[in-house]
Formats: sequence, C-alpha cells, structure tokens
Amino acid sequence: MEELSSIIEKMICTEVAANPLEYREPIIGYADANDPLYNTLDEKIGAKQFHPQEMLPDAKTVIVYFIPFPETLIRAIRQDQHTVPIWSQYYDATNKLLDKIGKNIIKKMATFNIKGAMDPPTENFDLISLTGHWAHKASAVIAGIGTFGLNHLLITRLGSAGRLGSVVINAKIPPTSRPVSSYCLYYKNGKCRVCAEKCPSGALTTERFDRFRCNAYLDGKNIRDDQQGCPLCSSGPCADKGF
Amino acid sequence: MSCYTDNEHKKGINATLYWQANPPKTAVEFFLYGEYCYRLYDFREALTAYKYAAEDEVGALFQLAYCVLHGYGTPVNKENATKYFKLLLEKTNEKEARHCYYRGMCFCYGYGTIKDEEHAWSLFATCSEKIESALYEQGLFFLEGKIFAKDIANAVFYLRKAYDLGEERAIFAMEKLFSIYEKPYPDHIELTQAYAWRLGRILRAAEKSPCREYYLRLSACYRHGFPNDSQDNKKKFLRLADKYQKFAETLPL
Repeated sequence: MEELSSIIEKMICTEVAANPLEYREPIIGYADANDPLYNTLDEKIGAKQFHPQEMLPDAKTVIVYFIPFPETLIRAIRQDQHTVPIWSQYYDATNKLLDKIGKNIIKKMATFNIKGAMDPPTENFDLISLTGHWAHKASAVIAGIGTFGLNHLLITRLGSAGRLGSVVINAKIPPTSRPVSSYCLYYKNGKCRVCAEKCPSGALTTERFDRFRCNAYLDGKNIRDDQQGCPLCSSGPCADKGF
Repeated sequence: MSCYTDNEHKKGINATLYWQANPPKTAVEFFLYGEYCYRLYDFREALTAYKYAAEDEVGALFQLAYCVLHGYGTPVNKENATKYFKLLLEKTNEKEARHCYYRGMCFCYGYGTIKDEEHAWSLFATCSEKIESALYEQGLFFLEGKIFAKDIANAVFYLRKAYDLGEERAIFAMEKLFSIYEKPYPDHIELTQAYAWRLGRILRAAEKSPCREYYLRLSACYRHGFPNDSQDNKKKFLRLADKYQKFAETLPL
C-alpha cells in the first residue's frame, strides 16, 4: 500500500491545483499527537486548548497543511491601502477549501479504517475572550512547517501569507522535523519590525499583540465593504518567504 | 470585552447590505441612510442624504443643522445652522420622543433659541427611555455641572446606560470624567476598543472618499492617540498624524 503521507499529500495538492483560485504549492507537515509541546499550549496561549487526544481519543498524528497565497495577492497587499478586496476574497474562499480538504482527508482515512477529526479553519473562537480552542498555528509549529513571527502569524519557508488547516487521525505518520531556527527576521537578528510598523491600529507591537484592539479596529474598518480581516501584518518581507 | 464593537459591526454590515440592495427613496429612508453614513464618519454622504430629507423629516433637519454648525461634511456656516434650528423649533412639538430630544438639544446649547438648560433637562428626561443620545446629554449635565452640581456617580449612571444602548460618545465622556477626578478608566480594554473602533471607521471613510476633511480627521485621530499607549505606538502615531496631515493639504476642501 502507498504510504499514508503520500496519499494525503497527493490529495491536498490535487485539491489545491483543481481550485479555480491560484495558490502556491501547499506545505504539509505531521506532528506526533502526543508531542509534549501540546501540554504547554494552555499556558502559552492563555486559554484552554484542546489536546489532540481530546479531539480524537487514541489520536496518533496531527496533519497540518498550509496553503500559501499567490504572488499577485502579495503584491496587492503591499500597496498602501488598508482594504484589499482580493485579500478578503481569498480569505473566504480558502477557508472553504481548507474545510473541504479536511473533510476529504477524513473520508479517505475512513476507507482505511482510520478515524479522523478536525476543527473548522475559522469562526471557532470565543467571542468574549477572542481565543480559539484548537491551535492551528501551534500545531503547524509542532509539525515543523513553520515558526511564529513577530506578527504572531506562522511563517513558513514560503512566507506567512496563506491559510492553515489541520486534521487529527489515529494512525501513525512519522513527525516532520522542526526548523532549527526562526523564519522571522526580527527573532533572528532584531532588524525587521515591518509588521509592527505597518499595523494601523497599534495592536501589534514588538512587545505584544492586543487582539481586542485589533478586532475592534477591524470591526470599524470593515463595515462599509463587508470585508474580512486586514492584510497588513502579512504583507512584510516574510509575506512570501521565510528567512 | 469585545461584544460592543462586534454587535455594532454586525448591525453596520446588515445596514450596508440593506442599503446596497435598497437605495433610499423616501424622506425617511434618506434620513436613515444619512444616519448610517454619519455613524461611519462619511459626513459628506450623510449631509447629501439629510439635505434630500430635511423638508419632510425633522431628524434630517436637525442633523443638517448640526453638521453645518460643526463643519461635518461641509464648511462651518453658523448663520445657516441657526436658520435650520429655528425652522426645526417651528416644526417640532413636545409630545413625541424624538422631537423632545431635538428641542432639548436646541435649548441645552442655545441652537436657534435662548439657552434654557432646565427646560432642556426636562425634555431629555421625557424621552431618554427611548433615546440613548438623551441619556448621554443627561450624563453631561453631571459631568459639566449644568443646573446640578458635578457628580461622578450620576454622570456614570447616565453615560453607562447611554453607552450600553449604543451611544458611542458616552464612553469618551466617561473617560474625560474619570480623568477629571484623576482616576483610571475602570475597563482599559473597553476604552481601547472604543478608540480602535472609531479609528477603523475614520480610516475607511478617508480611504473610500479621500478629501481634506476626512484625512485631517484621521490625522487628528492619530495625533490624539490611544490612552496609556506604548512609547513606540505614540511615536508611530505621531508619524502617521504628520503623514496624513501633509496628504490632507494636497486634497481639495
């Protein structure tokens, strides 16, 4: 039988290639569902996070997939505008794609008698504390596909402009090894602060990220256009590559 | 807590989608559309809508007068504003809640008539169950010591109620109140959110309809900054204030 990882990677790449929107090549990684780092997330994030075993009893692997946005979109978000319709379009469409990929993986795994579970890519957070209960980004770091940046986003070798999904399964796939150093220039040598400098609301600084301030700013900015989010913290030098 | 801005955002999005599908036609609709634009700091668009509706809708007439008096979406013209307020006083009565609010504003601030703060208070008291802006004005009586002694507890009582019912100005009035008494605002997250929520709308209005007024407002917003902000943010915001002020000066009035 073909290796599970090959089957999964083929599925994800096929699904992304077949999508009407253009993307760069997905990055896929695997985390051990019992990695000790999962036990530290509650404290690090400051809110209760589901452990993979709580998502799926007898979980063995967390599959994480990052879909990087295309260069055309990255060029668009680097212009001096705070509302970029193509960003919002990709945000919505990619969430649907991530959801579809996740469900297809679970369906395919079921044909091998393998169970799977997933958390949706968005709309899965508490409205009062603005925290989610399944850490997609932390899982991506544990699965070795990227590191955290000053922008509080995941930076992969293909950058931070993209969206993440993950699926927990009860079959063993060897975990991906983690990068030896950060992909973030600020954490590497302290020289880049573009994301903090660009943040229009001051929510992101070199000291912290104020999610309440960010959320309230977005609430105000996006009424007129029914837009999602803000691309600015994803639009720095690390938008399309890790360092 | 995030709920205030999230709830206002949902209401705002619903209004955006509604007006996109149903452009205003009647005086009442133009007034409501004007109110929608006003809340988004798009005063020029609001003023156009109020002008259409002012003859038949007293709310639009009040807002038109208010905008002209304060230079929202148009240059300040105190003479025209006074004319509009006088007309408003002729057209309104003291039976309907909304009319009571508009007349209360006129007597409170001397718009088109002689100031009479006691009469203003009784008008606001009549309608404040239904109109959060009236509660806000009542709060200001205790904040500023109009006809009553300054009283932090009463001010907070009215302003808190006004804010919880959606009157945005109330939180900034409470901030001022606490700073007068040299006390920190009790909920720093809530206050920061109010500043961020306001900044988001002002920025979008400027970007969507660039003009000197909107970019000067954005510049002023950055120059004022956020309460108790970090040094880095203060410096960054001053840079942005200068940048937007310079840009505003290149735009037509």
